[in-house]
Amino acid sequence: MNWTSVQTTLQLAGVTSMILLLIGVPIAYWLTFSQRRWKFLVESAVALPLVLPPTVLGYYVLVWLGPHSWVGQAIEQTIGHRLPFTFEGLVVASCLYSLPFAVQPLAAGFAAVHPRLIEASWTLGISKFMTFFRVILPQSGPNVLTAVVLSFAHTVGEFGVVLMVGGNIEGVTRTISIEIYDEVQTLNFDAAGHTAIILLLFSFAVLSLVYAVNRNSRPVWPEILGEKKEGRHGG
Amino acid sequence: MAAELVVNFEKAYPQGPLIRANFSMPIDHGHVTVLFGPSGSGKTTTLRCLAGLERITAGQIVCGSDVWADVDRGIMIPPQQRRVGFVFQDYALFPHMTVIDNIAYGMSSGSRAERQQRIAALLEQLQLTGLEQRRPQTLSGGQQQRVALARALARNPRLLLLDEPLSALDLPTRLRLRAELRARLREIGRPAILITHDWSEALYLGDSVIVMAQGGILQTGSPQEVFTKPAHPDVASLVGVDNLIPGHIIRREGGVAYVQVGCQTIVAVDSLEDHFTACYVSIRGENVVLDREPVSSSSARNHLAGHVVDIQPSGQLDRVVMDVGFRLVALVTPLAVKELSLIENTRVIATIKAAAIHLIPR
Repeated sequence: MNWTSVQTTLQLAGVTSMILLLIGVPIAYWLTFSQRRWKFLVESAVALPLVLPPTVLGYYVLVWLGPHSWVGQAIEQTIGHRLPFTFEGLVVASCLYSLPFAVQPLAAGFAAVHPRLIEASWTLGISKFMTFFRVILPQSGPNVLTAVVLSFAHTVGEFGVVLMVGGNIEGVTRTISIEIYDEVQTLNFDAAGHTAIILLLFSFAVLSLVYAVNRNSRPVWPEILGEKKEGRHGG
Repeated sequence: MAAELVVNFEKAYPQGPLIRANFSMPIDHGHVTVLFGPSGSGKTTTLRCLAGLERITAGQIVCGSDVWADVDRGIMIPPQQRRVGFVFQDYALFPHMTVIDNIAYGMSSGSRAERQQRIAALLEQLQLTGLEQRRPQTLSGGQQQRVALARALARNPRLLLLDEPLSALDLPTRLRLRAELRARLREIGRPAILITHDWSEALYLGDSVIVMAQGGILQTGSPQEVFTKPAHPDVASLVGVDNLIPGHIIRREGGVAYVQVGCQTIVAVDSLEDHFTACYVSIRGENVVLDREPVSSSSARNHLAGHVVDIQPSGQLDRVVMDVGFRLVALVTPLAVKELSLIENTRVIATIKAAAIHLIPR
């Protein structure tokens, strides 16, 4: 068991889930309340990492962040170095990869808030912006937790994207899942097994937490799969 | 010119109904306008348009000197700036907040001390003292209604809008709270628009009534006007009462009330609601029994002598309109009309049981 890779993994998952909470909330809000006809296109784009092979996602992130794209060049000019094979690059890729795991629970939570509560807030003189923080967000507590925990856990478990964008640099981009792969490559099955069982138990614990928190409100899976079922709270 | 709410708009839904509303009401005192009609008549849509929760598709809404919405001029004031107090049908209290946080939610003006003073006054006025820290889910229907009212009043609204405020309650509670709500609305003294589909509620609570059906307004007027002189057959059928006569209770004794109606005194089972004297006497036509001669002995308390004014066939029954000191309508079978050989000016005795007379405060 290599504690450096555990530390790298936890750092990556922590930073990713916090960033995803910040960008996931406005995206989920827009997806829930926008009346635009082309909303389904954004919904599809957000859900894309659910079905896309991680190598495909990793390939595009690598190309876009690389020195031959204008995005990569702009970033290099701004921060002074390239993103591929760095921790920051890994964070960018992880955010894209775990985006649906943050956005969909949030969107489902916002959609389950009874519209009348929102309207009551408006008639009481509270702006749409403040209504979000005073009514919608507090009503979506379990969903916010679900979003954070699932994006954290999903980031911990990623492999293909990390390998494509981050490579395998100890202390920088080598995560637990890559370490397991390394150990198996060198026929070191005992070490791989140790790490694997820890990851398995961790994932199980995380999902148990999510289901426990949600057991009195609504099923988790339909949200993850993008179906917005009417929730039972708020009414 | 007295301040008025002037409403004249259309709300069209794509592939849906068209709602038209055209009325005005005074807003300088506590006038209560009741929007009355069956479900699906456009009452709630009208209220939501007034609150700014729906966008009107033609016309305008003007409150005093403020234009709230004007389609031609492209004006649409958002709900936040209309200063209306909206009481939703299910009250829509915030479940994650205590009673006091619900009430204080929309308050922004004044100092902290002023706001606390105002909340204390509202708690007191609406008998919510002691419930400050409770969650809405733990309150009874009546208490929830009072919290919703307090929350709406906390912002000092220009206009109160109440969407079926009593329909979420069971019948006994509804009757009790009807009296309570009426007293509160009087006490608050704010102009209010209230929705109901229950005619007795409309009569009880409204200073004026607007009857809506199928997306349009059929009649506006005082409750008595609307209920005694329906301008439209639909209004008459919505109202569903053949006799609604203003009267005064002159005496109460042993569970019965003696009511002065015109030159007659009639006996009715007393209402349990509260102690009022001015009332409407409501009698359904099928509860009036007709005789040619005075009945020698009967359990019925009211025997009113008069004469037939008109006989109108009305479906399976005939409407016999009489003058017994006031206008009284009886619904009897055509066979009975024939057997009693009733024609215009025939002298008749109308018999009504005290229990068949419903007293409604006015």
